[in-house]
This record gives sequence, C-alpha cells and structure tokens, in this order.
Amino acid sequence: MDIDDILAEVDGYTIPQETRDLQDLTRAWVTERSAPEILPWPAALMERVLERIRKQIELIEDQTSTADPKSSFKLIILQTELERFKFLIRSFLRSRLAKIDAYTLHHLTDPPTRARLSESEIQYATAHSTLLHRHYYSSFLGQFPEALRRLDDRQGGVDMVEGPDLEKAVFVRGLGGPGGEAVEVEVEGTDIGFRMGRGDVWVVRWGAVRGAVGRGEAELI
Amino acid sequence: MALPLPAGLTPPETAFLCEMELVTIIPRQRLEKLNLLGGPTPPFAPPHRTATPLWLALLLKRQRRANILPPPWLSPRSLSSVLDLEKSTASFSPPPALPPHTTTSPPFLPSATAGAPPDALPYHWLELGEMLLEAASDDIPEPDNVRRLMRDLREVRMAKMRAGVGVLEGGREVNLNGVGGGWR
Repeated sequence: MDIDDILAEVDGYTIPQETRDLQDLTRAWVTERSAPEILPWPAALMERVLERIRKQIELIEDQTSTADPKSSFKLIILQTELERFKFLIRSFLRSRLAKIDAYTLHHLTDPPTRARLSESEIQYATAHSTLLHRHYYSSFLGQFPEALRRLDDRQGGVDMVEGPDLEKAVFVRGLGGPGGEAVEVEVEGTDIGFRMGRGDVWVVRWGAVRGAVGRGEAELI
Repeated sequence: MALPLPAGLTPPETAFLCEMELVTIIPRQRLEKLNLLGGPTPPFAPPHRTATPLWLALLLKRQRRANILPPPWLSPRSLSSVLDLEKSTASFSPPPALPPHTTTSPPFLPSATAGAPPDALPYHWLELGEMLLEAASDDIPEPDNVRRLMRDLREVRMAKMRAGVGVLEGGREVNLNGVGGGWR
C-alpha cells in the first residue's frame, strides 16, 4: 500500500486498480520516452497489465466466434481500447530497447543501471553485446595486439564504456511532496536550487530532477 | 525493433495522450457497463451525461451514437477573455489548479469535462480543441469564432515561447507554468 492508496481512502473515493494501472503505465511510458537514461522496470505493473491484456484478447476471441450482431459495437470498443494498450506497451518496450541498443555495455556493466532492467532485457543486452563483440573480433579486433582488444577498457582515465548524457534538458511537472507541498530541488554538486510546487512546469537538466521523479514528486511531460 | 524516435514525445504521441482526457458526452443510445482494460466504463443511459475518455467519445460521435458536450473553456467568451489576459502580460495564463491529495495529473484530470473551470486552459487545450473542432464541430457553439480565437491564442503564446527560449542559454532552470503539451 503506498501513499496514494491511503490518500484515496481519506478522500472517501477510490480509483479502480485498472484505472490506476493505466495512469501508471502512461506515466512510465512518457517518462521513458523523455528521460535520457533507462528507468526501473515496473515488474508488478507490467505483470498485471499483460495478464489483463491476455484475458481481454481471450474474451474478444470468444465473443467474436459467437458473432452476435448486437454485441459487435461493444467488441469494436473493446478492440479499440486493446489496440491503444498494445501501442502503449510496445512503444514503452521499444524506447527501452533503443536505450539498451545505444549503450549496451553500460547497461550490462554499471550495477545500478543493470538493476533497472528486466530479465529478458538483460538477456537481450547480453546477446546483443556478444554478437557485436564476436563480429568486431573476427573483422578487426583479432588482428590487434592482445592488450588492445578490450571494448571496456577503463585504464588511463578514459572510460571506453559510454553511458547516456544525464545532463540533457527535460520538461518536468511538479507533483508536490506527500502532503502536496512544494519540494526543494537541488542540483548536485552546485549551490543551485529551486522550489517546485504542485503543477509547476519547468525545463531543467535531467540530472537535477531524476531523484524527484524517482520519488514521485515530479513527472516528465 | 528499437524505437527510432528521438527522446521526447512526438506530436502524434501527444495526440494519443490527449485522447485519454475525459470529456462529457450525451449518449443517444443505451450501452451497458463495459469492462475495459483501463477500468469499467459507466453505463450509458440517455439523456444522462457521462464522462468518457476522448477516444471513446470520438468513436461514439463518429457513429452518431453520442453528442459531445464541449468543455466550458472552449467557447468564444472564455477564449477571448484568456486572449485578453495573455495579451496584457508577458507570462502565460495560469493552468487549472491541480486537485489536492492526489498524484493524478493530465491527461487523467477532468479538465475538459462539462464541469471544468471556464477560465483556465488545461494542458492539452490546443490538441483537444482541434480534435473536437474537427470531429464534433456541430456540437460546439460558434465553431468558426472558436477556431479563430484558438489560432490567435496560439500565435500569442508562440511568440512568448520564442522570446522565452533565450533564457535557456543561461543554463538555469526555466519555468513554463501554463504551457500546453504541443509546445516542445
């Protein structure tokens, strides 16, 4: 039970779990599409949504076979919504894959980043980097002296493993702290800070707000 | 397989998001409750008004199964008063206030239903207004006036946006309160 549940109960009205999952999935999609780095894999949410989609497909298949002309319009609505959900999920997964593709080694070797991937994403990244490494090795790395063959050399102060640029600008909307109050955002490593109230829209560097976004005090838009 | 798009939402994606906004409809025929993936829909019983997501409202409208009740801010009176406000200040007109005690945010707020505040433009005002003008102009009073005022508002706000971009070069945070979703 998180803070939303408690507040919803206090308000005396509850949003159905399905609706809340749609809201969370939408937010996860927008964040993933806008943030420069990959975000934690929402395992429980994805499991629930995928299970519901599976059941809905079964239901639609079932009802299509009975082919009652009266219910055909209902089926159109169900199918339209299903397509919207599928688009959300597909776009969400694909934008994660795009980030993994761009910085495969970073996602595999940086422990905090690796922890944000799902199991199949780790599998994908491993296969991707193995293929790439094998290809490089057979086409040119194999001819190099042994000491120069590595793709993840960190010696000499230069890291070969490239990660995403965390200082890209993002659009962010403040959601407020637990009580809806404005939150302080401080930019790490500087004395710059600003107050972000509920509903405020800012353009800031991702690095400055990633903490707030992770805590649910702000969302990317 | 990976998404070939750059970071940030594209206009079609913003429109997709906008289609989740709630609008008020007046159904023309009965329809029982439907268990959708995003939660159950309310049963439709004419002539009772119901709030549904825009995508469903547009589907029903296209099939002439419902009329859409435009949000109060999508009227010549509201738009021209917002336009006057925009012209008189350098900042953007304030967005509708977020309700307290919930982390819900656009597009899941009832900011485009018949009960929305008439004097504040919500986040997806431009996309929503254009979609309604295209699909349901017969439900909107004075659609040509509304269209003209929306265009004027868009011009005024675009000019402000352009002027504001210079601030970004300072490397500090920039406040964009009240700016809609179609602006990046």
